[in-house]
Amino acid sequence: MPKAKPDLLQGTLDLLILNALQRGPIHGFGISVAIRATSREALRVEQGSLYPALYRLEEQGWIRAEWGVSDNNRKARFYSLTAAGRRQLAVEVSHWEQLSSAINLVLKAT
Amino acid sequence: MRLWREIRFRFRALFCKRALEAEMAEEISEHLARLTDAGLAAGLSPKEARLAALKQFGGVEQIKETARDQRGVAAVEHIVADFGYGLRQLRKAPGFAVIAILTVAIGIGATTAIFSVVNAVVLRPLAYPYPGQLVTLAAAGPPDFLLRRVTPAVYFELRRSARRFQSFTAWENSFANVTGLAYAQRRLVRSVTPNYLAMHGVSPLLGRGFQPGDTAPGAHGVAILGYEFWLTQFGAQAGAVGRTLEVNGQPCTVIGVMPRGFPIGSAVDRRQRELAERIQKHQRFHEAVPTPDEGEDRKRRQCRPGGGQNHVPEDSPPSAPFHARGFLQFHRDVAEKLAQQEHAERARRRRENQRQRRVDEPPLQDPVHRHQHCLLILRHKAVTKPKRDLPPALPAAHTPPTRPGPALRHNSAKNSCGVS
Repeated sequence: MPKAKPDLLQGTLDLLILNALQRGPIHGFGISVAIRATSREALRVEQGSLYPALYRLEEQGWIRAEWGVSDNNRKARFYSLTAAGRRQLAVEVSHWEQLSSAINLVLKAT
Repeated sequence: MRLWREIRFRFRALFCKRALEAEMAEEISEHLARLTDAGLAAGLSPKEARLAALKQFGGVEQIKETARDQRGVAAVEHIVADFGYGLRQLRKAPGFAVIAILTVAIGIGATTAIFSVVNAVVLRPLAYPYPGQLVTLAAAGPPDFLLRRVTPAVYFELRRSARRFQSFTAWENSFANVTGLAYAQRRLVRSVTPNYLAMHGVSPLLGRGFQPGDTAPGAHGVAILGYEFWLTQFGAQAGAVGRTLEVNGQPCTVIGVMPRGFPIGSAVDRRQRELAERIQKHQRFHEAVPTPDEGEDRKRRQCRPGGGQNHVPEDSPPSAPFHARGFLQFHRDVAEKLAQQEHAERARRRRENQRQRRVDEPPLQDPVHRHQHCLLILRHKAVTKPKRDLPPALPAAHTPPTRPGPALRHNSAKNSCGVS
């Protein structure tokens, strides 16, 4: 029961977060670093939208949060994908592919 | 499963708020610490690194607030906060608080009271078939309830000439001393014409209803009991029918019991002979009902008076008037004299008019009666019955509190009545 996306940006943020979590549990800071790194600094996730998005995804049941100890021996909150989160990721990816290919078609036609 | 998770989540958001806040604060400070570490690694001083981290992170409190909204219980939290704010404001201004609370309380109370009345009087239908066809006629006059009674003459004139109504019945409430039971009681008694039940379309639960023969001269007084009276005084035994009660000292045979919920509860039928003696005196309430099949074209007929069929009820011949007593109970001194004068006057007139088959009621001389020649049409109201019992120790022969005056003495002559 995915909610209607208020705008593209928020939808893509969810997609990016879910995608970043695919490789295993990771904390909030790690997510922002991962997204920035994998996009070659092109995408920067603002903390102001990262944490609200994490809480929203957690409420949706797509990700799960656990306290753990990070690599530098500090207490950190690790997020991981749930089964529902994996399904949602697949849905978001296919949405994104449809959307981007459609936009590409439009751009090429003109 | 999903629902359960959501409930747990929201429950936690509502009731473990402090833990959630702490978690969030810790998470954010951890994030800031990492940003600071990155700054330190880039060669900044600790203070600069901290400032850079805060700058990069953005407004901590705004982020916290946005994150809080994601918990899905923001609406509830806002309501709770507003409620708390309201309470604090009220405590700050106790005078205003008292006035506001009183205003609301009185408003609710008044609305409830008005609705109760409207519900009982207007919204709840009467317990009769075709209640919409029942109307009550009363005399227009001063806003004194008693004076709105209709004179017997009007009753008979109506019954003779009104073409829009199928039948008329007249009734009167009074209190009577009921003896012959375990102890003497003062009860509301309704005196009615014999067609009272037939017109309402209600039959007794037990026994029979009134019959025209009950009003024959010399007939024994008869009564129909209200359901509650039957329940409390006779233990709901069928043997109540056939028992004899004394109503104001006059024997009265129980011929039936009304079903539960019959709103009037008591029905009294008076004897024709006695009624004939008392035509002169007073006034009446009247109810009228058109037949169900007449109801359709009733409105049409109302446009042309004299249009429909006139059904004269066969309860009593037109010469049988009705006796009223309620008036005298409240204006006894004046009314007794009036009644005596009227009685003599009527007796004389009756002798003169004996050949006429109708009752002649010339305008009365007293100012009270002058108002009673107009009619009002009212909705018939269910009457709640006051229950007033005398102390059980009262001997049956004790003089009733409202001892009938000289003109009333034949009031307590044999009659038929219902007791409720």
